[in-house]
Amino acid sequence: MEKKFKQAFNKVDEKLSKGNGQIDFDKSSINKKKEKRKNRMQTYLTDSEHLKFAETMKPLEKPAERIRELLLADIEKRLKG
Amino acid sequence: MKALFYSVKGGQGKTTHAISYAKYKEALYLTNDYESGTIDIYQDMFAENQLQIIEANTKLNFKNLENFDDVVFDFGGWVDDKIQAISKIVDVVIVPIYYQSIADLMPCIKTVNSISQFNKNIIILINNTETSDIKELKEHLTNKFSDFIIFTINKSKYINRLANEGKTLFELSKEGGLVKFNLTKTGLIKQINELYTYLDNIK
Repeated sequence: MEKKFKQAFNKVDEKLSKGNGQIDFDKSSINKKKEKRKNRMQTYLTDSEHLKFAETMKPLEKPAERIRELLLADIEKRLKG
Repeated sequence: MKALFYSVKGGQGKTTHAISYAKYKEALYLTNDYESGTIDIYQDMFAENQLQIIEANTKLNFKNLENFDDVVFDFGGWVDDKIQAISKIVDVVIVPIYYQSIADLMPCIKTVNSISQFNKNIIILINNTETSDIKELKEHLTNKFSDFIIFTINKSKYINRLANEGKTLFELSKEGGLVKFNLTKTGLIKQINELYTYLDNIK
């Protein structure tokens, strides 16, 4: 039992020591983070590398194949739009 | 008395304890939870205008709050830029942790580290946690945060009655019978009493 919490606290300390140990409450940096997330999403939907990767996906079963088709159709639509 | 219940992580017991305390003190209850619908569940428990929702782009007028003896802020689940200003003006910040795994510990420690820049009067509330974990967790948290006080609330099915039936533990206890017996036997009422007595004596 003692080991369980010792390990947990050590892990948390290790992670926090690598930075990101404080919550950033500043409004402008909250907005910057939101913008970054939005840009990342747009890159994912428009980047040709991602598209190539999606094309190499092999359908494992019919539902997966359908999802793949829908995703590709969606990406294609967004690229055209 | 102004108290802020805050944790950057949701599901730790902020709202449950903030509402219970606000009801006990008959305090003004302010929350930034305008989106999830959680507050709709609790709305009927409050008197008219006792509960107020502060939306993301709404500015808080701290001067107006001076008219109230007791204010409970229930803020969080996500980062809100008002937290910094609120934590500076409150008498105490309560950071609840419902320990299930290390994924709850990390946000709790991060929250305490961050809030302690603005307010040194912090209570860590180990909430609804397995009895077998509480003692050890309290020891480790005490070692880490020696300046802050730690309270504990044992794991109990009665804590969820607030959402399901709109009754705080105190109200359930007043009903008497088996519920009162169980709440007393498990030490829950004693634990809540200790926390509230401490809070009452802050100001």
